[in-house]
Amino acid sequence: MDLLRSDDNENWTALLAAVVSAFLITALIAFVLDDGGMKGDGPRERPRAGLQADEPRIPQARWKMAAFAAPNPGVPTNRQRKAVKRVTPQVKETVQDLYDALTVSRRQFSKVARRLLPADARKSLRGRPLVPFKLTRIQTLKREARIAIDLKTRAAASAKVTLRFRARSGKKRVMVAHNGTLWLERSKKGWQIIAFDLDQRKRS
Amino acid sequence: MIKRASVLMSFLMIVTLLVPLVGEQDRSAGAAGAVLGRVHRNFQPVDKHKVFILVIGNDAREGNPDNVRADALHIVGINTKTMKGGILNFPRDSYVSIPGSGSGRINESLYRGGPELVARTVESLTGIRLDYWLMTGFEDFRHIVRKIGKIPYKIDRDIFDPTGSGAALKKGTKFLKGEQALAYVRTRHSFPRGDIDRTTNQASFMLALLRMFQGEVRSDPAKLLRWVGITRDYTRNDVPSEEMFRLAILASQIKPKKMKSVTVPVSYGSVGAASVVFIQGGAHSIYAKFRRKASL
Repeated sequence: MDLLRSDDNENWTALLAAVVSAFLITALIAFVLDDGGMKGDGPRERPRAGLQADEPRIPQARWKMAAFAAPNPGVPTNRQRKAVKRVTPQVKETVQDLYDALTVSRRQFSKVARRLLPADARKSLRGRPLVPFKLTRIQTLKREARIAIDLKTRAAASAKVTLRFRARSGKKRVMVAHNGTLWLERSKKGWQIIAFDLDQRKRS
Repeated sequence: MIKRASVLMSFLMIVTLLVPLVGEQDRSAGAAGAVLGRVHRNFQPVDKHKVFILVIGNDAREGNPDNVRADALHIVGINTKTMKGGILNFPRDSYVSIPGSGSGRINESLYRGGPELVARTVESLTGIRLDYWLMTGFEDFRHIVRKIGKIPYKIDRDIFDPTGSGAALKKGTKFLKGEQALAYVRTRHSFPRGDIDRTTNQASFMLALLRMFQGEVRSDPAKLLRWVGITRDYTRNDVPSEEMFRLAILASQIKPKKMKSVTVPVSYGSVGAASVVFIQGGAHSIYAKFRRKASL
């Protein structure tokens, strides 16, 4: 019987060790994969679900988005961290939706603009997306955004966006560099872009 | 191609960094901190494309909590349609009619009736309906500048004013700290036209602040939130956060070279034993233009 008990103990110990190891490995994998808002949404991919791409077969660069609280509070408290984390996904979504509608999902620009831009801002874009429709086969090579969220109110944010893409204009290939600044505000309708400064130019 | 959206509500923020504000109800501005507020309870901009802010620098300091005077007085106007603006400057000794209080130097309107009376006096004088006021004293000005950081500013002459503001600055581009910035905007003895030049210099300083703000925001838009945070922390105000945010955005868009500074034309004189300056007739056309266009 002593022998039997000894075997049982060893088995249990081995089983316990296996479970703990599996748990640790799983936790480690989850930690590594958790983007914490700092990485992109995946490998080269189509626009997020919800915005249909104009040319779905063309793969697009993944979004790389970094979000943080501003002004920089030094070491944020847990409460501050959680409060900012709660609004971060919506702000990111707003930035992505706008830019997708300006570039790779232009057919949905009007609908998205009505949701995300106030009337004056839509007027200044003259109801047209940033990339003219005469450009086709748009392929983004770089999509990055640096988002600052107001720590105190969590109702104001800024986004600095960098895009690089190529497209076709008839038979010619065009490379474009885009830099934009968005100012966002949270309202009853959700996050909206209340002002923006966009700079886009062809690159040789 | 740079496109910019017009801001929905016209506000001005940069002056909030220079001057704290007082709420409408607060008559005991005295040595109170920086204060920001709306001039009229019923805030309805007459023209949504124009914004006017009254900037008041009072001489409140430790040991002088009462009888404070408005020693710096400016109207900052912005036209959000043309994205041009102006700063209209009033020498503190301008002899004017003070509503309900006879006549006197314009700076006396502050201790006679608080910032509300200053605003009414200026509105009555110029015919311009003011939207916001922004007021600060010495201490808060120093704190705000200290928090913002050193301000790059080009001084066009040596300034040495040991018995006045205490300014001691050499000609050239300087990075002014809180104490130095305060001494500079207060000094008058080093300038040929004394207080008139001083009020003009204050406007130049505001524009330097605007340039610094825009430079920081251009390189990192997140810095705008920092400036808004400083304003929020160092002013008592009844302006909602979203208005301050929009004001800041507006300030980030106006080019300083599109903001012209004009000091009202004056002549020297006296009333009784008090030396004053009289605003010249030519000021009326300046007021009319500013009222119409919110730019100079």
